[in-house]
Amino acid sequence: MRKALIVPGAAVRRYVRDAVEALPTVGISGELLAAPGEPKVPADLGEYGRELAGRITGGGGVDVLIGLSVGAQAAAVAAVETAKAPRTCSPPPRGSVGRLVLISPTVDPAARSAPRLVGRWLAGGRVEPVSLLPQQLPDWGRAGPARIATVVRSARRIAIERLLPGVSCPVTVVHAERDVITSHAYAAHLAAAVDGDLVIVPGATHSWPHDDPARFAALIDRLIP
Amino acid sequence: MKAPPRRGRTLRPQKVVASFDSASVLHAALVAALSGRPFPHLGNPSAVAATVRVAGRLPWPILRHLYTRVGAAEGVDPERLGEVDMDAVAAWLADGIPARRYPAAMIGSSNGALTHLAAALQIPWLPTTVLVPVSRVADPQRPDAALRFGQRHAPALLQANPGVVLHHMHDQVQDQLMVARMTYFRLKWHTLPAAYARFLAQSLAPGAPVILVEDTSTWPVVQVADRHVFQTGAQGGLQPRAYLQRPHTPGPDGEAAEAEWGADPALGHGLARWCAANGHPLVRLAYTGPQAPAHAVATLLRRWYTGRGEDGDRLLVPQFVLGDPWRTLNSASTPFWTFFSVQAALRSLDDHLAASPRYRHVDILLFQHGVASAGIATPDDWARVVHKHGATVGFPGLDQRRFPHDIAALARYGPATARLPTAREPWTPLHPLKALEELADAGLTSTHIVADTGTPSEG
Repeated sequence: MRKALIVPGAAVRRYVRDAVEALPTVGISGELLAAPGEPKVPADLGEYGRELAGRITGGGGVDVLIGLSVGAQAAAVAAVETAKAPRTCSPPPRGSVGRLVLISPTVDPAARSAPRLVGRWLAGGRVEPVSLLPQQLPDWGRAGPARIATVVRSARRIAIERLLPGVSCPVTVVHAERDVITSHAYAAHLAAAVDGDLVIVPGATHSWPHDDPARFAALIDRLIP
Repeated sequence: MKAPPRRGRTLRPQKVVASFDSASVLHAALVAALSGRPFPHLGNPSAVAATVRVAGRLPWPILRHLYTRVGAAEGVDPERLGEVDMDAVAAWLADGIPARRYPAAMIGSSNGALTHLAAALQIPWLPTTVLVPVSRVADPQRPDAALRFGQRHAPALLQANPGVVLHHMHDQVQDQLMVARMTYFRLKWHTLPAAYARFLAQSLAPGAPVILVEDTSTWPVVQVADRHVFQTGAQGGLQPRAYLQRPHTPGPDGEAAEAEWGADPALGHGLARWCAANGHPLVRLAYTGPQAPAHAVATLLRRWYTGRGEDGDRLLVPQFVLGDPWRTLNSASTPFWTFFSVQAALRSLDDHLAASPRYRHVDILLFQHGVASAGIATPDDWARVVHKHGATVGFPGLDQRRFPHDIAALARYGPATARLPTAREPWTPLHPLKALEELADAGLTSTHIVADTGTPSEG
């Protein structure tokens, strides 16, 4: 069975549990990782990504590494680190990432200042489904403000566009049509910069694939052989 | 002849180019699609749209006066034409495009169907004809006087801008309201503007093709001076002969590229040289008349939708500048663009519906130009054609009772397209060369150009 690792957003993960649980229906074993900033998990995205890379390299690799929102930054760090490791075979080389999928990747350079990031996050809240907040609030409560602040600080520091040249596997950037936190222009720029694919999800918001397990599973199924 | 002004004093591009023209609006609509944004109310702020919706309720005699005055406010003072800087206009158009590396670029004629295709490819388009409206209060039925006005005022403009040809256009039928208070200077670049060359060099992926969009349609003209022709009438409800038979119409002494849609053939040579020098293949996409690409584009995009599991049974008919490529793609609506609400466009839709698998529903965005002009196609005409092919029809954002005076439709089509059902399937932009192949299958062929000579090498 093909294997997928999913890095969720800032200190939250239950909002995508249904989506990850849908992956076996298309023959993919999906593991939803602990969110950056959760208790006992690195809140710094760089540290999170490096730890994840060690796990991937030590565990024999993964067919697809999927990062959601700030999780995309941690996933990009991990993909760069695994690309540095020695190769043994292909495809995918043992210990490496077969494909990197960045869903709603942050942080758009136009929003890297704290006020702008907060502004976009608040604007994003207005278009998200009402079912999202009740699932995210308990996760945030568990993480606490200090750890969330660390996630946000590292998110503002880590620029995916500077990491991607160091990624050796194919890259897919997924942009939700109604995402107001990450701009379409940034998502398209990231995809174009590495000759990657850009995928647009009609009607979706930044929190995709929340509440949309079937489309998520079908898309990931299409992306990995 | 007036002395050219010093280059230090130029008009801002936004003050020069008409905001209501096909080139500027289609370009803005595509920029919105490349930015992942809808394009409601022609890109105007919501407050402006709200004002237009309120004003649209006024009785037509009052609204007509307002519409004409607001449009006329865009006119450039004829005494300041020497301050028009077309290099700055080109830079403004190029700089408006989101900066990233593109797999191809279009450059050339305005065309709404190809704008929708460019949005599906996620590639930019650089317009090569723009409208500079010039303030002038005059009798719309005197094209001869318009010609004399151009003779008097165009030299300063042309002297300051050696890279363009002026196609002075006077359409007293379809633009009857506007030409009472302005005259239409359509400017075509006949050499590649430096800003466009710079944009292509910075934005194209290595080896990415440049697609030259050439509408080869022509119109009878009077050659007024070097780089200056005068055209009475325009593509729409009447043939050139019908315009030329009208009184006070200057007799033509030749043919030239049609003022609004036609391409200046000279541009292709300069572009071919640039492509050769910079390692980009040049592909020429040529057709005759603005309506020509619509069927092939609609056919291609419908196949693209159905190929990923969409129903593809909803047709959206954008018209002239009314349309929203981003919402069209994200609602999986097949776009069949029409250039105006005229019988020729209606026949083209009829032909498309006859040649295509049946659509379930057709939405038509009828542009309102405020005049029941000769050759117009009414909502009843459009509905009759759609019903003939077994589909239901809608006119989003239009108050049919007010046609063709429902100016507020300009501010209502956006909310209407926002309500279109959302597409089901995620999508990836089309590949440019694959799209060109499929366009050819649908009847719109392109030609690869040997770049150093500008001659065709293969079909």
